[in-house]
Amino acid sequence: MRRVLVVIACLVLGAVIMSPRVQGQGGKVVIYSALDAAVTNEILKAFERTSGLQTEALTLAAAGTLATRIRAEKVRPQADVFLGGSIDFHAPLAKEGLLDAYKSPRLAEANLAPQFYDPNGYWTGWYIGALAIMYNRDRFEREMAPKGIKPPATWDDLLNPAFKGQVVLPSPITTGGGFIFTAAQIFRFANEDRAFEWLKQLAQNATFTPTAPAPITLVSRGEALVGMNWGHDIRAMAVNQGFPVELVFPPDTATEIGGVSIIKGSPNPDGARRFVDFMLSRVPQDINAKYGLRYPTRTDAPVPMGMPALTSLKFVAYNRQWAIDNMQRLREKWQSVIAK
Amino acid sequence: MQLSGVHARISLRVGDPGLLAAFLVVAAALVGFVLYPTLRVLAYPAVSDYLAAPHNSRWIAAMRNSLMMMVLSTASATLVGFVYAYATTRPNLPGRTAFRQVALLPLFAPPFMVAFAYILLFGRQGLITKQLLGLNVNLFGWQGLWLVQTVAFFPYAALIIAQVLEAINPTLEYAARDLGASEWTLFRTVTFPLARPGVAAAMLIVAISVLADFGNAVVLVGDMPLLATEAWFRIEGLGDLSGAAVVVSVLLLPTVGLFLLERVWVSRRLYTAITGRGGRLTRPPTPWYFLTPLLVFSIGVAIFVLLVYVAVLAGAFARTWGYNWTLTLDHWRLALGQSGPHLVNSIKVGVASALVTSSLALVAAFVTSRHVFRTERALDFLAVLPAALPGVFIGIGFLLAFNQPPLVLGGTPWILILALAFWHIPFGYQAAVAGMKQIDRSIEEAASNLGASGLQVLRDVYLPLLRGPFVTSFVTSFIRAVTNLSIVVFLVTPRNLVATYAILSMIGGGFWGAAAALTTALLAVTFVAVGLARVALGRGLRGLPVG
Amino acid sequence: MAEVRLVDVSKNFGAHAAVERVSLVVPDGSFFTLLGPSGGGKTTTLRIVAGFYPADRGDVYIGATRVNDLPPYRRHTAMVFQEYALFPHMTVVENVAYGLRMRRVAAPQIRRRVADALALVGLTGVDNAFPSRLSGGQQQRVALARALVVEPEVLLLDEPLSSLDAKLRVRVRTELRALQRQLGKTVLYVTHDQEEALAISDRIALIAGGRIQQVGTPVEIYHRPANRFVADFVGLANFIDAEVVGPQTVRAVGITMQTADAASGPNGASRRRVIVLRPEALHLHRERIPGPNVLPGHITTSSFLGTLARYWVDAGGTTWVVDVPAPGETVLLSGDIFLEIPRDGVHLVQSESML
Repeated sequence: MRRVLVVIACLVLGAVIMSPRVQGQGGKVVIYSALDAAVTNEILKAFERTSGLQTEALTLAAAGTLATRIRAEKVRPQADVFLGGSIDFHAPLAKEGLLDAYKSPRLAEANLAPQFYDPNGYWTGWYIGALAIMYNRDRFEREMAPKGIKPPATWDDLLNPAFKGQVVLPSPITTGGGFIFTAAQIFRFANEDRAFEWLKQLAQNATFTPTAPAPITLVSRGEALVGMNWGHDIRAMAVNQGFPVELVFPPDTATEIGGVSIIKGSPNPDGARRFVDFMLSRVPQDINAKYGLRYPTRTDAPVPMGMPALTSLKFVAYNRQWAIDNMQRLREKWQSVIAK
Repeated sequence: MQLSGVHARISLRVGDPGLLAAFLVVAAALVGFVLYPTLRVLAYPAVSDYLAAPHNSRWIAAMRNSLMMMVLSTASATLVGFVYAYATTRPNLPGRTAFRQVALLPLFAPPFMVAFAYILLFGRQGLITKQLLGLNVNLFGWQGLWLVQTVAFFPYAALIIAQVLEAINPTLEYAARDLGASEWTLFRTVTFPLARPGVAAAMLIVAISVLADFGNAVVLVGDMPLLATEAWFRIEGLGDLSGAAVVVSVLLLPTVGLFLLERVWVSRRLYTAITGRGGRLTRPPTPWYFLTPLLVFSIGVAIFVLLVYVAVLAGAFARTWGYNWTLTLDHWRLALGQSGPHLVNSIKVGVASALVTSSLALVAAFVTSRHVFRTERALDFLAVLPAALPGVFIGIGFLLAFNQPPLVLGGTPWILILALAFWHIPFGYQAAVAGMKQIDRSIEEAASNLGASGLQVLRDVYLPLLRGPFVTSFVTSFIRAVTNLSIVVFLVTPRNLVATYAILSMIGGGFWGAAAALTTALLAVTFVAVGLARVALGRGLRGLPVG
Repeated sequence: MAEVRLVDVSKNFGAHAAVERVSLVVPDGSFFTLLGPSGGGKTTTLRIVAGFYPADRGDVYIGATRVNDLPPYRRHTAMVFQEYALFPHMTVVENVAYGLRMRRVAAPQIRRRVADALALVGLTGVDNAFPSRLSGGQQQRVALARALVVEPEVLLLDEPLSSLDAKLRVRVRTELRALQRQLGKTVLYVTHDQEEALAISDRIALIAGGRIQQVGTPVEIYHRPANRFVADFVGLANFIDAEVVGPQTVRAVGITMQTADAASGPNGASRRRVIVLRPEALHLHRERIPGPNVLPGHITTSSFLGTLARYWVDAGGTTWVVDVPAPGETVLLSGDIFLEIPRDGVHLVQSESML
């Protein structure tokens, strides 16, 4: 009996000791990062150097999961900052009251174009990605060139019946990139119904993968012939790794804006604000350009190596606010109209 | 004077405070860490969300597809498992032990890697299908998933069925042959009917695993909706925690149904088949015309299983997996440099959760076998309920339940440790209950007769004699904790990152080589830890008939 | 040392009445046997005394204490189980010491008492062996030592000899009896072997169908069985239908016999009875001898059993079992024979089988 009581006492004691530390313990900043580990680590190292603050990061290239964790942790947020991932994920959190507004003093100096930051101060955009078409060069030369078929260069080329069953795209339902692609078509046709007709035809030709990087993997290895994904990811994960993949930015392409935001009720709001200040400087944007090949939002930051200049790309007239507001509805429409 | 029944029970309760304390601890643990998180998940969505579910065509399709995969994969996995178990229980099959070990390998598989290895080997550009056989095979879609799930889950079937086959008294086989039965007739009229409860049990366990399968489904079925993956997609793609909660709750229906079926219909029969004591005749040898096809089959299956691990190993050393085969150690540098500490964390979390599981399972099995407190059935149910809950469910449940008062575990490693521990309790509990049934009741009565109270009986009789189930439960829980992803992804904290999380991270970034290297490291470490555990805990088996 | 008293004890398992209104007294220091067929309730009764089953009704006393509410580990009983129930993970010494450990006896005391107990049961040289290494007989002695060493008020034995082979059984039961006499312990012993019960018991309680059929000394049980069941269960018996014709007189197979039992029942009761005749009470003659109690008959089967020859004889319309002692090396009888039936002191039971 005594032994059991001792055990119970130990368990209770252990639980108490293990309880999370009280707020404000020496300036640690906790970050949920939706970027890859390489970029995240570099950025955090740089931040620690300049600010003298310690950081801790949970890095998962799955912005939706991180956003959900933030939602689930609403009562007692564990993290201070939500870093990376398209602002399509940050904006809804702001709407649900899960973010803290902050107008950084650095904002003026950064001189960002107005579409790159939230006027209410809930999120700040610090990188840009653009959608691109990719195809497996070896297979193309072997199988398509002899038939006289030219490589795809526009969105409509994806409908080419010669590519039937060989096209892969990320799913609009579960990935940000897939969704932005779908919205881009709506803006391209300036007509939702016509866009969905086009998408239906695309669905005859293509498979939609549940995870974002999967199309790149498949095209790289020749499991698929043609695909679509973020240009910077295609370059970093396929081209620069030595795979026989070509990447083409079609006209009427669309972009994502990568964001950073402060979580409401976080353990270290002060540290979080300093982090946002830091993100507006050139340092992280240079790092992202270097390691992640993503375009910076600051106009004075250099273009990532090997990527065409942002100004040389042609974009569809993308109404981001409308897209975000209609995301739920459009995804459900996709599900019922196009998905099996 | 005579109040019998109730009176006797009360005096037993008061007279044995140790047992009462153990009961309270077990009850509190199960209610707090199994029932409470479950209720939190079920209560999270609004009622309107639940009502909307049947109208969601995607979810209807997901339910349909999940059930289809369940039927297909369960049938094939059980069939393969049965033949494999039958083969490895024939005494004269060469390499029996090796085949047994190979069958355990799929239990070590972290999600994603296995499915990806299969694509690498058997996909359109697969090493085997394209390079070797010149076939153009599309592994994506339900056919590929069927294949992968069969290989992934047949070990569960094989293990259960092998156990039942071994328990069949060899005397029966001798008797049948003596009466003139040929090999095939013997199988058809004696062996298979006696093994039927085991087959049924295996099928149900496999079915539940297939329904909850997440890692393989995500890689192989692009857009075919499945219940297990829908939850994750809701979360990942839409940030829709409420919808995810609805989906996992819907998934509960077939899982709990199957699970109740197993408990009520099969478990009873199964125990009567396994009460035989060991030390009997050895089986008669199997004739060559039966044995040879069995051997060929076993070799085929074993190759299939081993190929996956070979492929992962190759991926760890090749510059670009599947494309550029020059050897390199770069991936290892990256993986271990970044994730060395993650491996250590995995071990820590694995050991802690396995210890909690195995210890609590033993005490719980003991408490529920006393039949003193009328709540046994409820405790029994709670102890086995987690087997019916998918990992996503537990992850969300713990996140919702323990990130706020009354018990805040968020931010500590304990939320992950306890989630994993309680997720695995059913295995340890079932093993302990079965182990207890094997111990003749009279031994416990002797101890009681000589003066041992309830807890003393547990300490002096059951703990030493249940070392076997304890070790088994520890090892199984450890493996599953270390390779788990679905719970980890929700509960891991920046300070306590574990290896599977890092693997996922690497895959997400396209660093397949590093992911393969880290996976190999994780598997190696797991094997070593399992071996050590076996040695350390098994040493106390002196004097006991082993096995 | 204490007596055991059961007063009107009953126990049901579901709808099945395993023990029904059993009352008995086990005198202090006696060797008391519960005898009966399997499933008859004797083991259940033993386990009620041990405390493994609570009695549904009735009182159980050990010494002066009413023990109904005491769990097994608080009663001063020690049990030797049918399968010995030795702890497989403990050595012989550890097994025997277990009860003393539970009673928190000091270590040097434990060592001494264990050694004494093992010597008492005649087990040497196996102190550190594990039970799986011992023979059946050795394991049984360990179980006995384990029970004796705690000096219980009552020693309970549940068919302890059933796992031993025949010769060993006889030897061990004799030793058990001697040990009991030497120590003066109260022993409650359960067996289904009637020969064993007769051989070693002070008193026997025959339990069948959950009820006590008869309690008595071995002689009483054998020679004056209370009913047909007891007569049939203990030893062999010939049952002959008879009719009461006088206060001490009955008539069967055409012969009038005298009985010491009260032949007449209450007024209006049936006059039919059954006579119990033991095989050794009958005699066979090759030639007819004078007397009204001799029947002509024919031997159908014969068996040589060493100390006696057993014959099955058809006579007077029934088959009789007859034992002829000390046949020596003579050839067995066969063919026609004359059966002599005793005329005095025959024993009567009711026609119905059981109480």
